Amino acid sequence: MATLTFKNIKKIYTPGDPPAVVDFNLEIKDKEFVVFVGPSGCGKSTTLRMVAGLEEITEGNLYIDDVLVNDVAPKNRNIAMVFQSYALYPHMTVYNNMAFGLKLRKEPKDMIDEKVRNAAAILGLTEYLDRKPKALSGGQRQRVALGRAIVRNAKVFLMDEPLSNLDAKLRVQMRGEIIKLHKKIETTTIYVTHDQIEAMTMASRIVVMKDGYIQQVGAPKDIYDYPDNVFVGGFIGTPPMNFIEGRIDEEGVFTSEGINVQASKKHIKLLKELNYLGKDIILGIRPEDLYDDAKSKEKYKDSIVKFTVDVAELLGSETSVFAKVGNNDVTAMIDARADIQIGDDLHLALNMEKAHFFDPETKLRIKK
Amino acid sequence: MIYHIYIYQNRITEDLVEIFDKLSNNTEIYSLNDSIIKISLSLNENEELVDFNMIHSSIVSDFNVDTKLLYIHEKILDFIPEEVIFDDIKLLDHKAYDVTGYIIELGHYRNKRDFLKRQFVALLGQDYIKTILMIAKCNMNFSITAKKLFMHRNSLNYRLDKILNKTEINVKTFRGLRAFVNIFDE
Repeated sequence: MATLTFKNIKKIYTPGDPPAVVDFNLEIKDKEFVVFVGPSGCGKSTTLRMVAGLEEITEGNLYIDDVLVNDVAPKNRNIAMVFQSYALYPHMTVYNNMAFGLKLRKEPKDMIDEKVRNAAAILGLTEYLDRKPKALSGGQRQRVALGRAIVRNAKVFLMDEPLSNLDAKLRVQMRGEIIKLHKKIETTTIYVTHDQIEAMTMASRIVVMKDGYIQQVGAPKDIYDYPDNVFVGGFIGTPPMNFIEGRIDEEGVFTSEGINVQASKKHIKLLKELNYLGKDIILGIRPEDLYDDAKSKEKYKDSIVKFTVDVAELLGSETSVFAKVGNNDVTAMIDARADIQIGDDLHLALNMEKAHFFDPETKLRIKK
Repeated sequence: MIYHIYIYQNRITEDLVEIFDKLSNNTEIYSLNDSIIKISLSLNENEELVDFNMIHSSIVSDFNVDTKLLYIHEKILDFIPEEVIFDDIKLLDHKAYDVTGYIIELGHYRNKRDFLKRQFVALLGQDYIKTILMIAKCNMNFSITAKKLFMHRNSLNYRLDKILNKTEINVKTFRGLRAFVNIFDE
């Protein structure tokens, strides 16, 4: 168990090149499950490798349990890593695979045996201990890889996209298993992924990164409901948040090509206070906050927009509609209806209470 | 089939050697210096090559140190001598490389590029190099490549198989083609 503190961490690979990670400040509490998420090349794996000690820290300090570890050798940091490729020795049995790391640390044989059998019991691998990785399924192999991390009794687990190799169904199952495992052993974990669904479902806190910078840190729901900027709003959530560029007048009416909607009272108050009324602005609204049922249209009659349907995808429980008005494309998740055709006119009510406004220059969410 | 595996790690320990000791029944391990070991692996015709990417990840997680691993077929040593590999392995990233990955990586260094250029021309001849570059020019469309080179499609296939046979680099894949283009395309 451990706490981790990142203070102004910076990483530059080649002098003169833009840095891979900049001004990274974060405190990870004991037993937390923190997920680093972001597009490829945003610096999440680099940060993870700096924690492991596989990458040198160019500037800043990294503390594990209040001890500065910048110059501590990787093997003395007591950290266990799980990789995307299963990280197993193909010619060793499951038992030997799990035991090897302990043997390396010169632990007594009976102790190794106890730890391996315990980990195997936790992961449901007891009956496979004599098998070689080749005779296991993808999910079982990844469980052995997790087992190799568990037996080490490491202070921190680092997982670098451990589920990317698995098929979609198995990934969902393993996601659950990793969460259960974390509940059981409560080791502080940093999990790196580019899959925002994994981030949303697994994390106690999410760190969204882009171009080496932290964009936002928060609980999954907070990040989803209150994205700090346009990037976070677009990255977290499938389909992503809709962004409409337009202008808001002194009365609080937002206008864009073909759109004329009244902002909510709380937004008008906020925008007035911060002097945004009468200026250009970006409106952000989640696809599920656009409604097409009669009741909602009655309730939000000041914010109804006529769209033209581009594509309608029936997903079973709901329909995802890609629609257009003027130059504005929006996605809406509405009740499953088979009667929406391409080219149809569709009147949607926008729930302006749940909308967000962003500054068109800084792309930051307008908030107090 | 003999494969050679070269491992570069800051300090090679006996435990690292132990991992490779039981890799196959016919394994020979040589310690070349403090930082490099060579493992020669004899495989039967139908025996599969083990997944070295997986072994590499395992080593990194067990030893918590960065390690460079290169695995190549014995015949590669005919055109890339071992002494060159000893020097080059230090330049690689901390990953597992096959010959294609190794050549792609070295393509980033001008002097290495010149050396590889000479070796490949000596091994394959200018005609074959022209063929490879034409494939890239034709966006990997092999029928168009054959037409442009005034040869039958099957003759082109024969050439590509021969390149694979001599170099272990599959030019039919984007990755294999990239290895050559990096070196020859100015």
